Amino acid sequence: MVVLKRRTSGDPNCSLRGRAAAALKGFYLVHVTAVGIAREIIRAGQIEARVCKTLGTNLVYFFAMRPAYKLRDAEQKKDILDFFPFVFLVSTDNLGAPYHVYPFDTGGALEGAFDEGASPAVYLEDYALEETLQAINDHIAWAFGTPADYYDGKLKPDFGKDIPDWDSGPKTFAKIARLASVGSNRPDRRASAIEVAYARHVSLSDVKFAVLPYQFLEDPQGPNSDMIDRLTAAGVAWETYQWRPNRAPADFHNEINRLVREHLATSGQL
Amino acid sequence: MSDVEIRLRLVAYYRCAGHGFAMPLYGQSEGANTLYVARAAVSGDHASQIIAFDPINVDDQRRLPPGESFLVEVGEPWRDVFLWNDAAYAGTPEQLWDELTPHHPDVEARAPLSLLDLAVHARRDEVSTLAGVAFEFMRERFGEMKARGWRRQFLRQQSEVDLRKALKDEQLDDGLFQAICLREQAPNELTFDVPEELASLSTEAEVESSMERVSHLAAFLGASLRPFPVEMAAPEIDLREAAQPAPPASPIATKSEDLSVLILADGKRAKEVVRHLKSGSKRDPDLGTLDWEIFSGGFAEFSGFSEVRTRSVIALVLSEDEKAPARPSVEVEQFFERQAAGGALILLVPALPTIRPSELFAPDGGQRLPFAHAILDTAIARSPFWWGNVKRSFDRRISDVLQLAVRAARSPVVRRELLESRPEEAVPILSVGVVPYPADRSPKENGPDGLLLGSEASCVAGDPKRSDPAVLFSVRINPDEIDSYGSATQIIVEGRRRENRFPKFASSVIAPFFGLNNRRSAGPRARLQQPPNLPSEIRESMRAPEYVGAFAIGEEPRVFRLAVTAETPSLDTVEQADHLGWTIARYTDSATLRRLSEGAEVASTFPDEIQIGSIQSSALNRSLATRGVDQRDIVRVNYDLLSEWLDGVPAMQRAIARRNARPLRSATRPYSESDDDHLLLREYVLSSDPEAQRLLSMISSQGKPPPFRPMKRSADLLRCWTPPSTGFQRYAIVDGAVPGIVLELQPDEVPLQDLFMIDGDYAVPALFRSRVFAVWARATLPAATSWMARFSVANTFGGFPIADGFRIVEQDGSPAALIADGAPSQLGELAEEVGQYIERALASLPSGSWKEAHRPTDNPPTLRLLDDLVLQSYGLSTDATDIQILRRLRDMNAAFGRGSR
Repeated sequence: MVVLKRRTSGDPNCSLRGRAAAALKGFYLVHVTAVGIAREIIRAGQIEARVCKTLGTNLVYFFAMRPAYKLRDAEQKKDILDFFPFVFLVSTDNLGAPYHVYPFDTGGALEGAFDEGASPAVYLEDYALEETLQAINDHIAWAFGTPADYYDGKLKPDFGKDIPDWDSGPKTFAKIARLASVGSNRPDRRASAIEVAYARHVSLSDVKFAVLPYQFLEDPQGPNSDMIDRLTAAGVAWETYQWRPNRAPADFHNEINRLVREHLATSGQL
Repeated sequence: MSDVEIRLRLVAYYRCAGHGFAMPLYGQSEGANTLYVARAAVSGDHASQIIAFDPINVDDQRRLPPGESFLVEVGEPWRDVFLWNDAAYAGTPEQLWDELTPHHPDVEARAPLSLLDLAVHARRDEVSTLAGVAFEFMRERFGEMKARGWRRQFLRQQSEVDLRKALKDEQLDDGLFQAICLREQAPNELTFDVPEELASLSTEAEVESSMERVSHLAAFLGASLRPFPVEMAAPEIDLREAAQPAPPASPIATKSEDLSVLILADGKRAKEVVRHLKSGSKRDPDLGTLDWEIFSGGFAEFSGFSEVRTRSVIALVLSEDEKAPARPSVEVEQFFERQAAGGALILLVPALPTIRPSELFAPDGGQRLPFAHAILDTAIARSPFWWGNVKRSFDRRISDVLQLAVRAARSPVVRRELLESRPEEAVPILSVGVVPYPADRSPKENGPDGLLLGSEASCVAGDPKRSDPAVLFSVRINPDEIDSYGSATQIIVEGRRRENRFPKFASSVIAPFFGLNNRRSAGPRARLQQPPNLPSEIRESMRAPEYVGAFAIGEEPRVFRLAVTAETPSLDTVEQADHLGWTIARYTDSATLRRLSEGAEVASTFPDEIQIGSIQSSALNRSLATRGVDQRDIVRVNYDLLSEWLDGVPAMQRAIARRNARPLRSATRPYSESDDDHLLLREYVLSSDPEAQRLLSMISSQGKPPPFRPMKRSADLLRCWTPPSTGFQRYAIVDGAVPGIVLELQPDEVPLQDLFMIDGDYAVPALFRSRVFAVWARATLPAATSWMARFSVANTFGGFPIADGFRIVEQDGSPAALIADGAPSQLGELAEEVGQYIERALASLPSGSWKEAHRPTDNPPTLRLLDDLVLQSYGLSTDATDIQILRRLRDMNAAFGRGSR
């Protein structure tokens, strides 16, 4: 099987850039983390940029609009993050230019999650989009049509058909992105979630919405939950999901997706 | 799946919050590194079976306490972990419901959503009421919209689980269940929105019955839910009652907006406690700025009774002096009543009499102060279960308790619990403390007899799963919760009923001494017999006879009866007990308890902590002993530097200069030439004398020069520097050592403050090495919590009666001296023989054993003969017991009379 790799020499051929021109529209970035780390984020008042092992730089990773989780194969070890997600929606207003933008989760790509769609002639860097928010709007317009379809992972019905075979970058991207579609054998929403990395800490004041387990509604220490109090104090709207120790993660991930979708829809982003 | 992954132990859990359901984690053994999560046959169903264990990456899990893990197999029912008050309960939901029964009211008040969840999974009828409580909780805290949103989610999730259960044989795609939606078209009217494929199965009996169950649940939550298809009628349940949960209790001002704390100290002891607190604003990272106002002038002097602002916390630190008023004035009472009505939390803080328990803790105590919300258990400060810094003095410990209580009193839960009126209850005791966190690092708490915040005033079992009727509420604040208190400690706040449990507390205190905790090592001596009854004569001689634990320890024929008291026993009580064959000791008197546990002779001896009444101190006797010089009044140098300096002094002045330098004498050995064992008068070193300035520069070149500062104890320095009068020998007595250790000093040697200097003839070693002095010294040593017990010039020496035959002579210019001009002639010879014996022992034993050398264990007959002579001179028989000796000395001291003071 072909493995999606990083480029070791030569300049990247960023062939996904400039494929469509869409109007500039604001959207939220989504950061999914484990409850324990979220507690630290709220306590510290910022999402801290941490060193990225692959790139060697301090980065914070987001997906444009979409919460995406690591849902790996059943044989692999599960991760505690899958069971206790905490979701932050962040406004891009004060963040400046991203460090990089990719049309899928680069972490998942390098772990081999999308190898099914990979080509030997296309390296990871070749998929990079321009480091602007406009580029994200353009990419959504090109591959999905609308933000709502992007959110649901629905590619344009005929997406990829008119791309000639020699245009291997867009062609393989279309194959990878289909892994995120509902009809895929191995559905993985990370395959078409636009990854946006920032080389800076992101303040809690840029966070606009959070989704957290319902247990934070209670706080045996006081009439209000501290976590929720601090979110409210920072101007962050919130919703809770029904966490259960024996619920399959996919079940409450679905619930979270619905909550985020509703919020994006009310904010006029979908 | 390997065999290993079919049968695993539930060993740990991962928690989302500090309470409620947590994720159970499994492993092959309690210490297993590889952990697994169980997979339920029906996602979200707590009644379903476990179908697999999946390995999981997790590194910050928490382990169940050792011995609490249990085996679970694939095919068995799902097991849960539920957290409450920092204890992890593991088992099926039904088991958890039963096990948590004593805590239900508490969980219902503070975590009603989690309790509802548990009740639903344990299929309890209580769901009908708990649902209403949970919905009201949401509405009250987050408003109507959030409450409805939570209700939709809760019911949706419940429907999803029920449908999955009902249709588990249909092999349907997960996405169908995930797609179930609940809509609220009109307030409290819910309808399903389900995929076609599910709707088509709705006529199946299981689906109908599960939908009916969800409809009931919706009704309990105050909503009507139409089961699908829409034709089916809503269940006939009277929604009026279920939909309108019980109105919340009358609103209580649990939060005073004013962040000010008023500490009022009344009486002398109270003043001593609050002097460790500081007035002014204190920035607290979690609580904002707290404004502390401290008034230690007593109620009578306080002028703020007319103020209108409501404080957050008012703490009344109360002394229990004999002359304390029976009841505060009307004006004072009205002030407190006004404050309480405005939302202030009023704490009574007993400053604790030093020698007896506070009367405020008694079940009927504190009646004169009915406006208080709680009585703070300050007695933890002298308990062996003290949680704070052990080096703190007693008063400072009490102030630490008070400070922690003020922090705890800012917690809304604690305020609610305390301010909520419990008309049927007496004012509770508030126990506060910090324990290491996580708790399983604290063996003290988990031992079989472990107490949680145990003191003479209040004690409950340390097992966090206890259900003790004395506990009104228990709140724990963990360091990793977002309202962090910083370090790796957990704050525990408990409201407790006032119950006298002193016998249980006393038994926990003595247990470690007698090995009662450790069943394996329990020898015959360590057996605790059926507690006997304490004779009434002993009780009658006590000040607080209700605070006593009676024990019989050991096995026949070596059983001794021990009465453990909360008060310092008086000499009368000790005599009475001894007469009736009892040994008595205060629970704080660990030295005595240790001696008893080591099999020391128990008969006719008295405990270290004993109350012998006020001691008359004679000025003449006081003048006999001088404490060695204060380190800060001298400069220490080594012999080389001293010689070099003296060599530079002109020959004419050398003799005078030399007077400023003296060899040091320490308790362990005479001075040496290599160490800094020579003392210089600091005043001289820092003087303007040219030789002194040369000396100062020599000292500075070797290290830090001594700073300028006032003298600490100039009179003692002068006396130590003055050589004894001709014909007298100078001796030193080691501070705090019982029996007395007497050293012979060279005429120019100077002792430091760990020694007392006494001049005289052989009378000094004879008297101060004797049993008589040992008895007196032990009885008058103050009980110290945080430092080595020290003799005092006033009591140990000033109060020590000098027997006939001995005499204190006053000398001009030199300290007084003790001589034995009227003693039997053999006293001198015997004293000298004992001295030589000790000298030989010192020479033969290594320097580390110097104390043993001074206390000959083979008890040479000469020492015994010397003791007999001293006893006789005090008018005591040679077989007098310690108690008899003490009684005699006490009587002699009482006869000092005013004339000699």
